[in-house]
Amino acid sequence: MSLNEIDPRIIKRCREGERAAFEELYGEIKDGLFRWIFSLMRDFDEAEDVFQECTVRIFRHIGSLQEVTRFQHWLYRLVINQCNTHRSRKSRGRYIPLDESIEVKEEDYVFHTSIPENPRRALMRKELMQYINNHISHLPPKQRLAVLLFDVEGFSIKEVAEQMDCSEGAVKFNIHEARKKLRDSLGPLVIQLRKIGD
Amino acid sequence: MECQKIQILLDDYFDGSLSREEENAVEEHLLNCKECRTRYEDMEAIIALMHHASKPPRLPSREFFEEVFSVAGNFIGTEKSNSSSAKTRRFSPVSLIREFWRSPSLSMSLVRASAFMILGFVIAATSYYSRRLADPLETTSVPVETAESGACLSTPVPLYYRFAQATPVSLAEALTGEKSPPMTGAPLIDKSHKSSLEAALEEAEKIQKEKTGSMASVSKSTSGEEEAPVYTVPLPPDMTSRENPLVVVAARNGPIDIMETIQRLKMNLYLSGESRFIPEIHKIESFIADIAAATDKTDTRYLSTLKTFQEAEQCLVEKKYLCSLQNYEIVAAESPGSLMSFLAQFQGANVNYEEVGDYQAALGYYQRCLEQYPSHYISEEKKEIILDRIDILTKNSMDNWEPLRLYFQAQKSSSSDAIPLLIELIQKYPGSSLIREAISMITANALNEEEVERATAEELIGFFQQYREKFEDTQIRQLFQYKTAELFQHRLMNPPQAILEYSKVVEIDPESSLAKKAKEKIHSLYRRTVGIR
Repeated sequence: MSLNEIDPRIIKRCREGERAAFEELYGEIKDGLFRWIFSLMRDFDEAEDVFQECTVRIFRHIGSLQEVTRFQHWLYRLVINQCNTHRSRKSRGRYIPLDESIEVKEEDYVFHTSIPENPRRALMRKELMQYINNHISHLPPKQRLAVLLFDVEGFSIKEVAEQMDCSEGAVKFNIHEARKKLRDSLGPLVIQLRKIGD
Repeated sequence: MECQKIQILLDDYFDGSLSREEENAVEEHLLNCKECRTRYEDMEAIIALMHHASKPPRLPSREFFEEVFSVAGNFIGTEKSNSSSAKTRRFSPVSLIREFWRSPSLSMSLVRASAFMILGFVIAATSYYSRRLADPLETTSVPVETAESGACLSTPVPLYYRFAQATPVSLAEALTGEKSPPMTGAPLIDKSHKSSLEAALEEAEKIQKEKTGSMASVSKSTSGEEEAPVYTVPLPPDMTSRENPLVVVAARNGPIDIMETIQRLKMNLYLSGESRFIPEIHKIESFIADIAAATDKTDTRYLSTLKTFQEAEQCLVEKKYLCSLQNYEIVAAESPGSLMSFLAQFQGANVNYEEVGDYQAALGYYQRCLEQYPSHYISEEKKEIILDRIDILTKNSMDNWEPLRLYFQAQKSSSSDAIPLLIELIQKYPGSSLIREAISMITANALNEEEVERATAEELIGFFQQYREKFEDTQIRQLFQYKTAELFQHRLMNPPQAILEYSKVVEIDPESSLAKKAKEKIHSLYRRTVGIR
């Protein structure tokens, strides 16, 4: 992931408030950052919102970063916090009129219609992704985060522990629990898929 | 017993955190125990799936990234100054503007964008009136494109259109009169304009104070002949004037301008396909209704066109395609050149193409989309769709839509019905550009065990072998061969034969990407049949 390879010199220049450096940094991180937020949020629109919030926070607070080499760690903490904040804000249940949510779906339908090359397969893939995402997002937050950081993002146990602010043992436990749950919930799907082929 | 022990170690084995000895033990066990091996493979598969599902379907648009940068750019180095609580600060127009500027949410930035528009009116109208005073003969205005900074602010009418149709970036250009390179994160407005805005807001705040709490009322100021009447409306509860000064400022310019602007803004938003703006749109809509009620002035033509458009969308949802098409046509005819008209053309084309099957009409609509409207109406995504479809439509001969019709009909049919349609397509129209799609689609349908019998799949293989020879194009022949192999692998469950068929794919053209895929298949099939990992 490109977030790992940010030149510390850029961060240093950002810390000094150099606008061009921010531009450079943004160009470097935006795609990776969005992908990372998406994998945590699993909803495109929400990922965009969180992306915006995170970018603002990065720009605003980068001056307070003590060690430039810790940027990546700092960034991940910031993203994780922001995702959590966003979720809890959402779950506090602001009033969302019923017809609005319906309308959103129609909009999506109306504006993004395109005939894919192989509709049956595309539909299958889409449903499959939704199914998997659904199961991942139903994991308890810590387990979800641990397994995503470790298995998807490829961090070491130690790095995950640092980012989650807990012991390595706890991280391992969370990863194993998450995998166990996913194995139980997605196992039948895997068997099905194996039947169809890869 | 042994299995239980191994299964505890499997996670660690997968992560590579076992000792060499333990690792060897697990490996040995996996070779001999099918159950544990499956368990391990399941885990691999689940993690692979998780990887796959964690990827976003697409990245946001370039415009989105630019917009975020320009919003976030305002926060550079603001950490300290912003740390004190905003709530305790005494309200003043200046602080309001600051908050307004720095508000992080995208919706606020949107509101901000609309505020620029409205600011444009205020400034434009002011200077327009003052110019009218100075020169009573000048009633029309000319767009000023290249004047020095700020000059374009004194041209009311064209500005109005430019604002209404602007993207945030072009809005900045319109306001500052400078071409700002994208992604600079420069503030959207320069200092002199900021102070004008402050003045406007201050005044707006004053007016609002006088009228707070009152029902919608219209007070036509009589102090000056040239002054615009002031309209105030009760605001939606979550849009108080402090949060949203634009509402008041907007009201000062009278309902028609604002309504049209907001409608255009709204169409812009709809067009952008960004569903998160919809709550904003709803607020704006009710705001428009309030203004209309307060002022008794409505731009009825525009609103009725909008209503027709909404009816068209509704018909589409209800699958009344002809009704939907009729309404789109009315919209396109009634507001030529507008965003709404473009959208109606585009949607009409989609309905014709995807649902009704009138390809001639669809082609015409798509072509008009590109020819009759400014390029900034058309997002990249839409452009891609339009170009793709025009391409498909023009490649399939204009006087014979039959292949395309068969193809789409097959797409909508069940697997067992689709296969004969696609076979017909391949047999009758071997020159069609849809051949490759047809071959892939037949195979996909044939893999559907529930609907398609094994015998049909076997027949298909015969058909593929027979037809393969009729095509000179190596790629198509290779595709036939590849799909034959797939049928053997997935439908007939005959891996040895599948390996044989895949190797024929490689023979036809060893350098092609399909050959590469076939090689991978051969390897994985081989591994699986021989039973070693």
